[in-house]
Amino acid sequence: MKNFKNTLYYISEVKTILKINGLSTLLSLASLVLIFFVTLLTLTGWWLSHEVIQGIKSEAEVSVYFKKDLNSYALDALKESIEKIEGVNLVTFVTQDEAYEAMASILGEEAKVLNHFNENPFEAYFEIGITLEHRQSVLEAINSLQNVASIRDNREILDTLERISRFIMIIALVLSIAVGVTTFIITSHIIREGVNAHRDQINTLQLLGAPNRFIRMPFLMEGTLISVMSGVFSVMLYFLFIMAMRPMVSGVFPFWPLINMHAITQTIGAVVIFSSMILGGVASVFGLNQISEM
Amino acid sequence: MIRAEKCRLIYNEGTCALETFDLEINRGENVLIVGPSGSGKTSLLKLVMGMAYPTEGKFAVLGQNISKDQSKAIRKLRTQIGPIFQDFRLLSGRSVLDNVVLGMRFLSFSQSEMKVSATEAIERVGLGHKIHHDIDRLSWGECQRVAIARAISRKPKLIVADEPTGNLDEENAINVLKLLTSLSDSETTVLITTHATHLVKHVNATKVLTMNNGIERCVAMHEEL
Repeated sequence: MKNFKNTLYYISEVKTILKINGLSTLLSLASLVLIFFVTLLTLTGWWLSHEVIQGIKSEAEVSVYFKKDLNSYALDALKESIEKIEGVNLVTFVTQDEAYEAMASILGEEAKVLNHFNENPFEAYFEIGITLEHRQSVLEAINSLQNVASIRDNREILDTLERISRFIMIIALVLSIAVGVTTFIITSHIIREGVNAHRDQINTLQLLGAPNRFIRMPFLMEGTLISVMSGVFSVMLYFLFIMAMRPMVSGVFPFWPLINMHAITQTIGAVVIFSSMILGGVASVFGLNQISEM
Repeated sequence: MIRAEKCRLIYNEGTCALETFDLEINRGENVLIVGPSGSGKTSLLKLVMGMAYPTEGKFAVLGQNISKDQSKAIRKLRTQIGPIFQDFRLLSGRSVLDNVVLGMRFLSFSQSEMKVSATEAIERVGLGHKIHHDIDRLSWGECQRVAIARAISRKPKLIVADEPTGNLDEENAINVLKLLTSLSDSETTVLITTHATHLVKHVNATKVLTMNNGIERCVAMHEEL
């Protein structure tokens, strides 16, 4: 109970400190909210690209197009040859109609563009499931088979996406570090301002024999509170932004609905709020170091 | 209670605030420190409060040596002292009660003990009717009484008042000195500095220290009279 007897006093002191440093606190809070918000978006971008790549990789499919006018015997022979290749898991024959339906399903509402074609523009093909580590040898083996017209795999797309993902990850990492440093500087600066504005009070408490933890606690709470509030406000802004953007983005990227956005946004939001609390506390302790013995 | 042996205080810039002196103040004494401005009264109180350290010799308060390497222990020592500062050092924007209670928050008082002790102290200095008033709305003399209430509510072993008569007329100054000297008992020692030497005869002190760049004379009150 003794440890809690001053809780209300600390809270009231925090209110007083915030009131005295009003405008400066408000501006610092706004800056921190924006900084956290940009970080949230960057982290989301990185996570999304990572998810997309993982999704595409897990499919690891190759489409094999064969020469036209092959009879059913030749097609069966080709299928059998492909199945024998090491690293091939599954070979499925996709008819022209199935290819059309698959594309219509991917395009969703945009599938109406397919109506502009007089006849089915898609060709029949073999859809081959492979293991990722055998990708190169499988491709070479299929290429050497007779009756194979062309092979289409998603390697180039994957490589490009991976490069983009790595780039976003680096930006997210650099930005996270920058946010950490900036939050640290801003919060410790707020604390220093608070300490300077209350120098007489601090000095009086020291002369009355108050221990450091009693003197520092309101300032520590102030710094942590400002940082956490920034984190919470930025997460709220981020949720609103994601909600507003989602319908627009899902029209552009048909695979968007497959990604569990709730899990991503909630995890990233929680991480940012938790980080803001830790950062605020550490920065406040740093800023409080100027309260020396008097 | 307070003991000084061949003590001397020279500030960093070279000013000699207190020439070598010996001093002994016992528990329950009521001590007046008199002398003109710049005679070393406040410097002596700074030593008592651990705000300055002796350059030479030994200075101890309540058995605690006052020296640079004892800062933590000195902070603890201050919890046993009830200081009344010349400028009061009250917190603006807070009530009388809040100011008095603040001096006790970090001591071993429970929430209810703090309130009872603060209320008693505020009533003792005659401000019971203004207990919830904002400190900024009080007169100079009332603020001084709040500072006294803050000091005594802590139930200190030593009360230290720096120039409590500073801005008061003679009648009020005598009243404040009488109030302060009435605070001493078998457990509590009172130390008061004042430049108003003519007021000494009105006060029931046990000892008077006359200062002039150090302690010039230290006599028991009855000898002085």
